[in-house]
Amino acid sequence: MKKVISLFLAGLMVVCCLSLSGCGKKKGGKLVWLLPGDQQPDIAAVTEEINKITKEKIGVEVEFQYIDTGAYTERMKMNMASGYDFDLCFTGYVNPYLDAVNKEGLMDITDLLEKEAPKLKEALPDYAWEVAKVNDKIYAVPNLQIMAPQESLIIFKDISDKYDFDFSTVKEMEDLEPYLEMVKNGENGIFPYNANRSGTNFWTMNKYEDISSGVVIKTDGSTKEVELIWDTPEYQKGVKTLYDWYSKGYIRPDALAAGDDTQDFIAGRFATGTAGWKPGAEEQNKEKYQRDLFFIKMQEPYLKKSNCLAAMTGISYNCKNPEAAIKLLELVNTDKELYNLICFGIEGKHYELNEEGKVKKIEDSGYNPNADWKFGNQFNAYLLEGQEDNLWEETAELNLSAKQSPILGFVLDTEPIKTEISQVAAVSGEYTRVIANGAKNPDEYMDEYRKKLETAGIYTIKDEIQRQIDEYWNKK
Amino acid sequence: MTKKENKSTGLKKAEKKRQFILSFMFVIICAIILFPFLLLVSVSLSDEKDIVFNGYNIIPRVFSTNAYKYVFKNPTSILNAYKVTIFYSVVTMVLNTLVMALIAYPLSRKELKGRKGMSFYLYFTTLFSGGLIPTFILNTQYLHLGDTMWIYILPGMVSVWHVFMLRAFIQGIPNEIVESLRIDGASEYRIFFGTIIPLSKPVIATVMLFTFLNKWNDWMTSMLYINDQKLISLQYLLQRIMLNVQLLQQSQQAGTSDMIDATQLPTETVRMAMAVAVAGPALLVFPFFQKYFTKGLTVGSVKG
Repeated sequence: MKKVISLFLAGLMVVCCLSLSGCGKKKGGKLVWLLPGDQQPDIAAVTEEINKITKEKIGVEVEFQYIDTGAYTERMKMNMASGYDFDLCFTGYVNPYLDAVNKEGLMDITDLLEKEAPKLKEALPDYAWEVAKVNDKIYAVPNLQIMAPQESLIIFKDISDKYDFDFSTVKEMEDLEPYLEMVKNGENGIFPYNANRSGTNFWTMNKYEDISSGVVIKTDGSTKEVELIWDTPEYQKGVKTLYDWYSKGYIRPDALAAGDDTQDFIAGRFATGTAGWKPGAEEQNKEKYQRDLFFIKMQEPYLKKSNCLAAMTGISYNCKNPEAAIKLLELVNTDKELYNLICFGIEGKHYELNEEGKVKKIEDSGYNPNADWKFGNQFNAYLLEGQEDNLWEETAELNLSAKQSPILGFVLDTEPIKTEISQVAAVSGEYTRVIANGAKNPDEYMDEYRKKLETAGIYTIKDEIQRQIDEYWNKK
Repeated sequence: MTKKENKSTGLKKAEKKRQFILSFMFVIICAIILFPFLLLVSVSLSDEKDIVFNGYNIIPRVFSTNAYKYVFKNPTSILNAYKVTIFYSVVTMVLNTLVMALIAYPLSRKELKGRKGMSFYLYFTTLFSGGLIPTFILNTQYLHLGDTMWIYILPGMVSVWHVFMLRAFIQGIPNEIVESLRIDGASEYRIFFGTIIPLSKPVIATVMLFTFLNKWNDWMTSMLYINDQKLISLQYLLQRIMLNVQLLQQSQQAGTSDMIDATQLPTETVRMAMAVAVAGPALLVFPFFQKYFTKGLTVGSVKG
């Protein structure tokens, strides 16, 4: 009897909670736009200016809400699952696009684009819309920026000037070895090479594109068969070379324990580094590392889906006013005045334009998001002081001229192989750093690694991906 | 201790030896615990470049207070987080314990009808939870606790295990005390606040400490519910740095690291200085707390 009563009480609680629903809705007609990053102290003043423009042109106001970048993915998961009231959100390298689409967090805007925002549809090149498609539907607007960065070696000049080495001979990674040896012998306490960032990628990237979990496909489109990265001769060569370099002391011996190494780079602990090249990358990296440097491009420009999905803006599945939201997106992506206001703040207060028409930021002005790619089409942004005049034209040109991935429009449905993917990720996680730094002899662990991968279900993943790829090509 | 006394019994000598071994062990354990913390302090007082090149050292090789200068250049965020965390930790500590004691006491009284049912009702809720997302929905959309101080205080106010802990202890207080108080004409409130609470000091101190530490170390709440920079908690201030560093490493492998401004991340020494700034005052307060805590426990055990 008592149990019955307590169950009844418990039930009553649930009912009470449910019946409370429906209260507490939106404030005003503002569009809420969620972004990763730090809240800018002077955001109110900027928002006021922004709203003047948006109110006049499309009759709505907008409110920017920033969430800590590190917490953004987690928070957005909650926001989308709980139906939190927001209208637009950043999706990309945090809050990944495909996950957001799968969780029904974003609205299908395919028709909306045609109807409400034809200018926006036109403003972006075809490939951008192609990559944004999931099952032939578009859920977010890509923020145009560099889409085909070329993985490159960075050579720090303060060290390379001391040695007589012709860097134009470096075509393959192995060609760099003589230089690494010179640095090793000539410098004290400086490590010639840092592989943490990309590991074996430098060996495989020109030939293979990773689809998921180490299942790859040839980039030249010559075959429709997928392969395992571990089977490719390029990968095996890379692993060997890295181990060789580690044994010879070209890679820091404590690489396995080292964390974020930005500070080590700035302090000058490495003679070489790696970065993605794009127009203007030299200046950007010089500023980042505070050292003089130059690039050796190791990758041909290659346009693949994951690069294009790094920064986008989507409309919430629960958005009450999608027409206004898409119009706002259109305006941000096409109206230079509005876009630059969002990127840099108010002229004279947060930045100044110099005689060349380039932005000089005012220090401690209270508004400096420092991330134009977060908001929209980067090619509309003012140039910063020190950036080349034709930076955006060059970037756009690079995007267009890059070799396109043969599976640019392909989206892997991970649902049937979810468990296997996370198992393989767990196994690979154990080895990533060891491999990337060549910290152990591959002959000793490779068999064990592959056995673990097999148990984790790598072949199930491969078969499923092959099936979906075949389907994709048959449809084409 | 004089020579005479030492000689008097061999037993005392053995005791002394045992004491010595014990003390020695504890000294080692203390050193093990203390070492990382000293390292933390040392790194925070070192020169950044030296740390990067030569690694950590227990005594700073190149002394520098730059990290602290950086941390306290804009001290509002740390001070503010302190205020927030201290406020809600203390409030929840008192409030939660009071509410839980108010539940536990009646449940311990035999004359309360249906107390088994009520206990079961409490117990029943521990078997399952609503899950993260439904909890989030409830807190933000129905209770509107998001971005308010209440989010730290109200949810999880009653911990059923602590209620049972309190009940078990209060049950151990002889019922005759309550009866005699009643005969003397004391009201229920008087009995509860005047006698039961003082008699339950040890368990109350324990529950208070648990609640306090739980709240003090909590960073999830800030991460999930707080947007307002003025309301973030101390632990999240630290956790945020870790989250950002983690994200940077992930995106380095994914090749999107250009999207994170790594130079905005605090340097190694600044991270350590922040850790010291955050842990320091709490460390100073803790011994006082602990003193009362152990006192409470021993008093209880003698009486109890």
